[in-house]
Amino acid sequence: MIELSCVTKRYGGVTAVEELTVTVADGEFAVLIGPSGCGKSTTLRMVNRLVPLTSGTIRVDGTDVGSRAPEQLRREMGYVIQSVGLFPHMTVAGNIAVVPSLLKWPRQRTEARVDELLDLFGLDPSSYRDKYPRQLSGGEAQRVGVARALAADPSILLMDEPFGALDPITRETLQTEFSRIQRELGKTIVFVTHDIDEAIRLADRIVILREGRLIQHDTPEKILTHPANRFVLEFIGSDRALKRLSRMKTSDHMRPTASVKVMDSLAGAGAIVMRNGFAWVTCGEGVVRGRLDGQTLTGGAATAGEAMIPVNRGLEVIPADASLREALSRMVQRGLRNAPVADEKGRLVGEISLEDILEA
Amino acid sequence: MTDRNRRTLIPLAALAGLFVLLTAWMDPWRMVLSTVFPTLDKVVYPLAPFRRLVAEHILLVGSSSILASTAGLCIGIAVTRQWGREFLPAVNALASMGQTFPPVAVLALAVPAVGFGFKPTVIALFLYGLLPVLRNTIAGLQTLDPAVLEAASGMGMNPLQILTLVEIPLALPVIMAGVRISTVINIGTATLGATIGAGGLGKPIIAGLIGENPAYIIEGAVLVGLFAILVDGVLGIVSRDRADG
Amino acid sequence: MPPLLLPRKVPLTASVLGLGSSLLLGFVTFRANRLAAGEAIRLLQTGPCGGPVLMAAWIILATTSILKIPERWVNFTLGLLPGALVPTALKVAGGQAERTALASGDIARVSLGAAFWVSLFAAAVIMLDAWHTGGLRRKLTLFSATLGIAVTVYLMVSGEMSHLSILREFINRRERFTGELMAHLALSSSAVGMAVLLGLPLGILAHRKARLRGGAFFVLNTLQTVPSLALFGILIPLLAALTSRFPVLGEAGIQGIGTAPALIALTVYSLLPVARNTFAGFSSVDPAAVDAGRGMGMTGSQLLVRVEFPIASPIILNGIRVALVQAIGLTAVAALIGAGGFGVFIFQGLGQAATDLVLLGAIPTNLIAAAADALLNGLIGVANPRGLR
Repeated sequence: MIELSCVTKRYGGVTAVEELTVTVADGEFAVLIGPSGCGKSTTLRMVNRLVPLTSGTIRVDGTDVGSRAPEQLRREMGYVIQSVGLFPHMTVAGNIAVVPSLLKWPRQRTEARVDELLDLFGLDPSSYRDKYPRQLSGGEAQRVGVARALAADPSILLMDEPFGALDPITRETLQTEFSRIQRELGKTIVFVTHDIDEAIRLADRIVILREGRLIQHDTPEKILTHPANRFVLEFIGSDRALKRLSRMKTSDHMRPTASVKVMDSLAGAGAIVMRNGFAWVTCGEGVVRGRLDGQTLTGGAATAGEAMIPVNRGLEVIPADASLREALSRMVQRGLRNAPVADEKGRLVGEISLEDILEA
Repeated sequence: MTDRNRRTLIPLAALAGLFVLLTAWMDPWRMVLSTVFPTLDKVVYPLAPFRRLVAEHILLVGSSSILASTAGLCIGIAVTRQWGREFLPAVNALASMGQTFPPVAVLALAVPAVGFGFKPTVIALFLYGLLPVLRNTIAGLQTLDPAVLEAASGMGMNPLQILTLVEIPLALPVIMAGVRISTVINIGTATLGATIGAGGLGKPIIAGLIGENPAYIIEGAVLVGLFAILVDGVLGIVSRDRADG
Repeated sequence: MPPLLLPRKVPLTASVLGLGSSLLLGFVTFRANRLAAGEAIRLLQTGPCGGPVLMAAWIILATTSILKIPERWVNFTLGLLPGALVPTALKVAGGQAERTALASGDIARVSLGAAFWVSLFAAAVIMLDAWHTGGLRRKLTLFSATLGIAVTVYLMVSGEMSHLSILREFINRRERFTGELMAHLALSSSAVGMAVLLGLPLGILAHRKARLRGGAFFVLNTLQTVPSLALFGILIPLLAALTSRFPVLGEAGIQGIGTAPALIALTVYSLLPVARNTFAGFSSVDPAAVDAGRGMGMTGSQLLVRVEFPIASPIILNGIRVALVQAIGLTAVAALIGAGGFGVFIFQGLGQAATDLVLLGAIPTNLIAAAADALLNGLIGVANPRGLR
């Protein structure tokens, strides 16, 4: 647990952070956000004492960080920055092994840990271990940067705009990947960003700062539905309803649906279509293939498979773990009022309609 | 002229004033040095007035540095053209090998080739002064942004126009830095020219070393030191002005 | 008809230079005695077969450089001939010296002449160009140059060349030579050693404290500008005054003339390249790497030893290289204030108008400067972390 109480930082006459009191619970993903110059990075850097406090206290697990030797303290927290800061003269393995070597881990343990982390981040140890930072792409470098921060298995991770310098596609990949890893590891994370979409995507709780002061500290849902003031409202933008949808999973809002098999006779299928208005057609394993409605029944075909309108599996089937925002986007794009929802193997698990999304 | 140059101009002008004063007027030397060295018979170098030594020194350095800078620039331009590019690697290698040659060795080796006096000193100063200008000219011309050159030819400039209107102006700060290094080194090496009878401000120093007269040494050393700092400062301002303009 | 000519400009220019100088300039200089006026002897006027062989070599090199012939033959000729040419030229000169000694007695002197030095230069240019061309020609050049150096050293040591004037000067001063070599090496390396001890902390300090930077580098730059003879000169009365004021210094061996002012001046000159490059090296470290290191819990000294210094080390070593080459050259000047070293031969030779004595000082000075340059360049190659290359 990280507790900031009445934390203030002044540079000369300028106040960077003023009387900030915030608590980050164990295992919580806290995002500090605000316009540039709002004191978010300063706040982060005060937690591991890279920036000294002017007044106030910061406690980590009940101990005042001011009473700890700064180097000892920092070795217990991971630290990731936007410009990564990999050591150019060390290999990937050497970089990840920095904190373990500071902590004098035995070599075998360090090596095993390096490979384990590379695996965790989807980097094949045998080909990445001996690469040098200049041989890595931006996304790979930041994966190594995060792996390096996790090397000694710290319970706290401090991240200062870690994905800020990456192109949008890589950034989104890393965000998804990092959410997955965080779900596995359950670290306490303090994460600084100026990208509200990133904050909403990742955070358990968001801390909004402006000119060094706390404006709102709440869950993303609450911030989107009940912004504290005009500033927050403007900061989250006019599309906050859409942003809210991006926090919601399709699987939580879908409904059970009726389906028939490809080989079912049209007569049998017709009864279901009559009852529901339409039906999804699946093949043997339950993978969605097409759609039947009233008009398709009249063609004179023998089986459902012959009569159905095929469904474009890439565009018209919504993955169950997609956000409602993504589902909406696809449905609007293809002009659908309702769409099938499938699991990662493409098997039909339900359906979602525009009405469901509007009610969410 | 930039602010920074204006700020360095005042101390430089003061230094120049001091240099002129000490060159033209013997009394301050006599007064100070006879107090410091009361036991010496003669405290002012008697064989030539300082203004003549300074003139000799300027002539040595001036002629050799102008020659060296011109030649260095020409060779540098030649080996960076299409028709001279074959020579570039060999010239580059020779220039960096040449800089491991001690200046005094170059000076000493000019003697067997040409004999004693003014001429071998100028030749040695020319040869040694060539290298920094050459290196910097090559470096300056080779590090230009290719996009600029492409734009220039795209606008219809011919190779000569590209060279004189684009390449040289852009490379000039680097080239001038080479001229500055070359000239300052030459001032120091010219001092050694006194050992082979070239005259200049080295004369009182050598005379003082041989005759164990520290006053002579100080006179030569102070004047040549001032001269070098002065020239370095002036060339510094010139090259910075170019860089800003 | 296909074109017959394919000029390779660099070897062509060099071989024309070698050929022309051999035809027009003296290959060796004959003197009736050590100090007499010289008489130039051209290559074709030397002994029976050496001259024509060298001439033929230049003609072959020139022809190969201009004709359109298979690249393989070009590689063999341009790769092998220059390396063989150098010891051959030396042998021709040595042979001439031996014959002269037999004819005119031991008092006569034969020195290497302008054509010899120009030929050496021209051969070096062809080898440098071949090195850059790469491939087979580079390998052959490396082979022939190594062999050429080995044969040259053998010729020098075996006594076959002992009638050449420069070796006569050497033989007369064999013990002095070793002594001055040691003095030269000791003076220049200890000055650079001192400069490293002082310049490393100074450069690091300049990197950390912006306020110190301007002043420190202004002073060092100004000192670097002062001509060496002037700085040596000013230190002499200064140190003399100090020792007469504090006799303890005199008892410790510090004198107005000799090693003390030389060491001080050389250290001062070496300080700028070392401090400047240390500063530049530390400035080249990405601030993000330092921030990351501190954020991971490295102490100041761990950061210095594990991150900043390894990254800065190639640049620092380059500064040491510049300082060392410069110091070796300036040590030759320090002979004027009685500090010893190869400058002793140079200035003695200038004083006596004895060319070969000047060479006996100048050539070894050049060689150790070049050796130091190569050694440090090698060290930079080794120290350069693989990730930075």
